[in-house]
Amino acid sequence: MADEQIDRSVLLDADADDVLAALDDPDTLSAWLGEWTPDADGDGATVITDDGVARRVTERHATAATRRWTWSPTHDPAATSVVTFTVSTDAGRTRLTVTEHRMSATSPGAPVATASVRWAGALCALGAVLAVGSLVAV
Amino acid sequence: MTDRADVVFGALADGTRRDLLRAVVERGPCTATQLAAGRTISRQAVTKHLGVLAAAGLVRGERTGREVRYVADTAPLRAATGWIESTGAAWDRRLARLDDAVGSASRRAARQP
Repeated sequence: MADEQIDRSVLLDADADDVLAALDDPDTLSAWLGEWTPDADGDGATVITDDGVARRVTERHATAATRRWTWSPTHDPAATSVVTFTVSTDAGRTRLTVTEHRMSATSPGAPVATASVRWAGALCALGAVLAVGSLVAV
Repeated sequence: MTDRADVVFGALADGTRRDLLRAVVERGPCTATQLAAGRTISRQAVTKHLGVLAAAGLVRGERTGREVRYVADTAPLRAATGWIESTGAAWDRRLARLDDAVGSASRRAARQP
């Protein structure tokens, strides 16, 4: 199984501290990510995202400018992803970049960079192929 | 991602195969001999690469007499990108809500004396 990764970035009219707080505070997380229920003990949580999927959040890690956790749907614990948020300032605003990386089950040590290069090539091919109208229907 | 998607992207990890798939899509049904013409690889090598693409469902060979003509099928590509598309769309929605959430918080803070 190959790795998969998505990246999204947004500029926010808020202080970096407020954005980081939105990634930490259960009430704020519930407001934008989904119903967030912290574990009674430890740093884990359960969140029900807007697609109705309950996800277990584990391995939370924080630095001054990043937040990271691992999550997986409760109905499919093997479908584990690592979500990383990075906060930076950008022309007086706050840029939040989120990366969700779904690691290969068969090559858990596969470097992300290698996987990204592979996917970049594959997706270039996809773009080229899908841009052509003369496709063969099955 | 499914094992099937793994096969698809494994097939596309090779630049020569991407080039061949692009050629099959652009030319329509064509033989390995036609695809090898103008390339620096042999017909046998083209056939081998087409075999990998066929195993991934990206092309299929249609025999006409002694010839095998290859046609492309992008359906596996669309299926393989399902996780990326759905996950990306989910984050687009979440980040839009986050923008509202932190914007509201900032506006509340600005109103406080």
